[in-house]
Amino acid sequence: MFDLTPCEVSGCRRHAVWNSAVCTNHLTNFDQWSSALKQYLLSKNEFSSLVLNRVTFTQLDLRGKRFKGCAFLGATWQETQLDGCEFRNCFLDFGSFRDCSLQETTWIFCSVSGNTMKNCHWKGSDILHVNFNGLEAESCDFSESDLYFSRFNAGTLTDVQFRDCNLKKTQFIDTELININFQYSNYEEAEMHEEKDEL
Amino acid sequence: MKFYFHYSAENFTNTYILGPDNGGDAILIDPGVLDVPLLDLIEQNNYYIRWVLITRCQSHHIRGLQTLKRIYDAQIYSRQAVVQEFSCQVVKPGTRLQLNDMSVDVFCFSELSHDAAVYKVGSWLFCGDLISAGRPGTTSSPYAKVILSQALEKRFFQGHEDTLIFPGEGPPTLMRSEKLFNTARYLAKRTPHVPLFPENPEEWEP
Repeated sequence: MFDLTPCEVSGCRRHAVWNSAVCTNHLTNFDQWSSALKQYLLSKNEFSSLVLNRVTFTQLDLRGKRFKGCAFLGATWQETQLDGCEFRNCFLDFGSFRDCSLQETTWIFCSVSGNTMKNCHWKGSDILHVNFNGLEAESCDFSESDLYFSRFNAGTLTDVQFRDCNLKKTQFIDTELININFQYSNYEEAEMHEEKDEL
Repeated sequence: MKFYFHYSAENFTNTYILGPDNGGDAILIDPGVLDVPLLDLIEQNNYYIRWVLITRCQSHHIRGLQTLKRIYDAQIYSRQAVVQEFSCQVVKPGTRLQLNDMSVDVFCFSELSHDAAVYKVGSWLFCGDLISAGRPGTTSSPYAKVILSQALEKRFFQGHEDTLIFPGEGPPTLMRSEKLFNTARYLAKRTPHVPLFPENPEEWEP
């Protein structure tokens, strides 16, 4: 599991990133670090305990990579191919996904809360025990995915497809659902409202 | 330190294991079940479960305890002196446990239950039933939910934003996420603090 070490620069509240004692803001040779990271990500298939907070991934081909216990807090994913990837015990909160392909990915016990997501395709994924609370999603497709025990609470979902999904114990509480398609999904097994004992 | 999550489909609860990178004495949090996959996980990592932390003494958190105790001579930490037939070391608010090189701080929330304990290991918080991602813990009545929400507001949501939270049920979460999206926050804010008994008896309204 990752260890969040504070950035070495005094007064900075961010975390040191992979292979460095400082955060992305205080990297003196950012381009060099960035290309080393890109090379590292492309050279291996399995990664564990990586800290890549606030990193921007643009037009990367990371298909089939496996990430275990990694932190990507505040990371930006743009036009990145993540098909067939596996994320276990990872934290990707408060970032953004734009024009990414995440088809047939496996997500187990991850936190992806507070993200913005536009035009992303998650078709055929296993998304188990994943926290998407506060998600602002637009034009995304989760069709044919298993969303067992995942949460989409307190967010806004616009033009999102959930066709033929497993929604058992999936929560959409306090979420604004605009033009959502739940066709062929076990919608009745999802939780759409807070428990009745609420005031 | 290594971290493992195990889900019990029988109880819908989470069990966690914390141990050193190269095997050895490990902590198990909430033995809701001790099935073959969990045992494999422990053995494949060369762990010996030396300590068991219980967040709440309800069956879905302790059902695997009897099997576990047959295999491992583990010290149990709990809010109760006896769990099932096993004697435990009672933890109190502010207790700090030193388990080899791991420091564990204990917090208690009697607003949820008399036996509810929360364990903090570094920046990881194992909160049991206290909250689940985006929601406060389940209570017996709306009144109890307000009381719990107010306690969370005062003593839980003040935690550091980067704290990683591992609930007894459901996915993991981040303190920052809970500060923004947990429904307990709305409940605590829109409900004025009402003392159980008015401070001035003349304020009583029959």
